[in-house]
Amino acid sequence: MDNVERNRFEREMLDHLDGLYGYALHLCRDMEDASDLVQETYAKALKSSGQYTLGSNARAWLFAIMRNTHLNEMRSRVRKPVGLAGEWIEELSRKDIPELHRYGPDPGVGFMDKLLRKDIEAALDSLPGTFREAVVLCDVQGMSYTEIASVLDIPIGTVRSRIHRGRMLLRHLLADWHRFAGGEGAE
Amino acid sequence: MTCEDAHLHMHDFISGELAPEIRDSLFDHFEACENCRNCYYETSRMAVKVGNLLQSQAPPELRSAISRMLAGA
Repeated sequence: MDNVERNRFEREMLDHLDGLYGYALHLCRDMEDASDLVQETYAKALKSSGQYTLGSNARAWLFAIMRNTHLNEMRSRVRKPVGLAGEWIEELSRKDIPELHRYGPDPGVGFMDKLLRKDIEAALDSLPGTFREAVVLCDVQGMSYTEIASVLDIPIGTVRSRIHRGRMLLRHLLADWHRFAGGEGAE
Repeated sequence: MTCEDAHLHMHDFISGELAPEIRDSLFDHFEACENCRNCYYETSRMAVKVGNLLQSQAPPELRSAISRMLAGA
């Protein structure tokens, strides 16, 4: 790379630092580990800079590197839904989507405005990882289905279904979370 | 459009991925179906809330470290 290309590469990589740090926090749940993961991701990106075409999708490329790095580190650990109601979540996540729509009462209205960051993080933490990462990439990182498919290395149809199902599970979880917390306005 | 179709399409709409030609029939369905309309309002509010509340900023020391790493390339 000449100096102009190097500066451009640097800018394209740095543009996604905040997003990558947010994603790392979701993956690691710890600020120090998240910072380490971000540094490792950029180190790998630098090593593989020859595979990157300037002006192409730096975000999807960096997120895929981060995810693969994290998966390799976590390979020996199996994440199970924990927290709010692990078994219930697992049961819900196995249901067909039309069946899921008929499952239980609608979470209703009126609780959403009262939610805090920690409520949403706790509920997201309780989702099975496949749904959580699709929802995070779409609703937090603002990625398109095509980008998410590229980061997760899955077909676009699977991205759609994971986002659909993940959001529905999250709505039920957040409504229950609010009910259990005895919040005003719980439906 | 059935309620099942509307549920599928509403998620695509919230994600900014719904084909424009389907948008009108989706909103016609919402006008006629209170359940789907409420589900759409709540789900889209949740998606916005999740997006707004979970934004993060990299700590300044991390930003400096990454800048140094990239500049040294």
